[in-house]
Amino acid sequence: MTLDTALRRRISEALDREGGLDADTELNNILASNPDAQAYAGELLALESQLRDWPLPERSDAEWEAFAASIESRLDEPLAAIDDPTLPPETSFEADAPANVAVSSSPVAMLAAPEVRASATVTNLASRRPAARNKWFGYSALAASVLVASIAGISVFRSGSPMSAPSERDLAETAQSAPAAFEAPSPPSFDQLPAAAAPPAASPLPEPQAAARAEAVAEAPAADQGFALGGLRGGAGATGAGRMRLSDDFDDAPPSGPAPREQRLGNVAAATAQAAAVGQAYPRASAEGAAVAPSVTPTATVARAASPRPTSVPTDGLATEEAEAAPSLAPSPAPASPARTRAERSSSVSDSDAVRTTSAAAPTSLSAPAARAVFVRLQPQVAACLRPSGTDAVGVSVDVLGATGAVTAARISGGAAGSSEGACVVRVLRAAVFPRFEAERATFTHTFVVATPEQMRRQQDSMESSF
Amino acid sequence: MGDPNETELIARARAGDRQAFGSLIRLHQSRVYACAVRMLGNRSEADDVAQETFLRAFRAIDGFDGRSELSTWLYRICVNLCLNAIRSRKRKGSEDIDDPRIPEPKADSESSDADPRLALERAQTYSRLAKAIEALSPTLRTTIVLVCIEGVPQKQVAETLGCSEGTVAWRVHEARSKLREALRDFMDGDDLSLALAGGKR
Repeated sequence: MTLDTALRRRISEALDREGGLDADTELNNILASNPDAQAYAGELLALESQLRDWPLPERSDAEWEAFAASIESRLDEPLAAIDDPTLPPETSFEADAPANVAVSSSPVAMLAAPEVRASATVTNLASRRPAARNKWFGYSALAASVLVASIAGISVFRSGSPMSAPSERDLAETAQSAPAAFEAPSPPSFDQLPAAAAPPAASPLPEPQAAARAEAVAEAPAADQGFALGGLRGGAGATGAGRMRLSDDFDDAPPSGPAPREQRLGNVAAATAQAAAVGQAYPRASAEGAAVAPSVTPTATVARAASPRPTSVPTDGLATEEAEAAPSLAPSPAPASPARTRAERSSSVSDSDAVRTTSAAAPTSLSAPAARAVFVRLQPQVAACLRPSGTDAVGVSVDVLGATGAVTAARISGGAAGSSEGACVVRVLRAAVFPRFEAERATFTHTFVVATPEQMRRQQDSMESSF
Repeated sequence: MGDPNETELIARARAGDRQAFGSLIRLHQSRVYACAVRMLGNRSEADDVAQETFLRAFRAIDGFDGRSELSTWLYRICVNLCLNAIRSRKRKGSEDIDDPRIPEPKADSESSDADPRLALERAQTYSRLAKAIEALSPTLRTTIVLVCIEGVPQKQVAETLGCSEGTVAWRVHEARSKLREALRDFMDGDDLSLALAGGKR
């Protein structure tokens, strides 16, 4: 169906007027003579009717009263600093702005556009990125500039790409020329965050406990470290600890060089076989703390910012920290990778930071093993949900309310997202109850891996052939 | 401006009367919550956003000058918080598939959902609509939710979003066009009017 855009708009606007389509006689005449337009109007009418009659789950009066009471009880609660929500929403950077609105990354042009003038703020101009298509155009322009500059022998950065970010001077000038109502609010900072949101600083484990854990890590076979359990995909997928343990194999290696290939193969084969032989391999691995790393998001963020980074020997994570606490317990010899890159090292340091802060969680928050235990208990139900579709893994994230341990939100990612199997997993997660803790709420992530022994054997074979 | 009772409640709330603000919460909580659910498609996120809307309104009530309806002002706060939540969700890269916008068939034999086939068709249609709405840009989503689903007058939506009524009309037209196209893709060439009406036959 090819219809004039103006006619489409006219039909749409007529729908919103009092009397609807019937009130516009001229339009009715057009519709009578144009079957395509008539069909279009019919479809819009049906769509409109469906939208207006869209029901929502009803709440009882008691539920509404409880909701209102809950808000009243929170009136004095500190709130995170954000841009003033009483200002109109910022929409001027979107690609689908109407034709009479300028879509531009230039702050001056934006303030000049009449539709934008009412809503633009200097803060948003400074902080918001250009639309995606502009970004790629910018990259292309930059690449072209590099090429031209290298040929002409001039400075690349003087080429004045039209997509370059506004400079501080531009922003200052814009701020001066903007009306007072658009004065930039002070950007949110960590200092402005409510004190209650900041968890206590992480503290190292007591020495005996650290020594015991270091010993456990040193002696744990690869199967216990999430490596062989779900194969590379299951062990590494979306689980910080899984990734960290894989890199431990390289980071904790003695400096004498790589281990023989036979030894590496032997380690992997033995570990995989051990995991395959034990029916409840996944729960066991989870219970022993290797396969999953539930992360308490706020703790990880704040503690990482507060704790200084080691300036030398950036070896990884938990094992390193514990080895420092108990230097006599050396980690198990593992194959070293001479080809390890700086990027990999940097990545594993980040992972290890998250794990370290989690492992040293404050007593007011739910410990990783306690959260993991809940996930382990849910494993059979999740497996039952996923089995019909053959999905072998699903990453989940749950928000838990500290006061009750109830799950307030559950999200999934992976192949099951958006399917009825995924809905089943979400229901299982929402029904779960975690141990209570003092912090207001926390988010835990976990990867459920549902693999059959046959799948594991196939993965083992493929891993062996890849070495 | 709203009814005298609401005006008085607002004045008392501005003077620090929590009880008056509580009454305002009870007056407006259902529409704020509905807006949040429609925008986010997630029960718990909508709960959080609706609550935060009133918490932020309580802190900013001094700045409400009464030139617009209180509901317009609350919608604006709610929309801003919803857009923040959507941005945050994009960063996390995850989705909640427990969507409260998709009606569940009722066991009540007197309801129109008694026919399981019709109930299923209806749920499928709304599921497709929900997906199509989520595929819209935040601006179009906000506009279609407020105008076509919540039934807020375009003038009030223009005040909420800080744009002209013409812009709102353009956005509604654009959103309808996109929704129609998206639904046609789902229907795979079937008659869209009939398919949309299917749940109500």
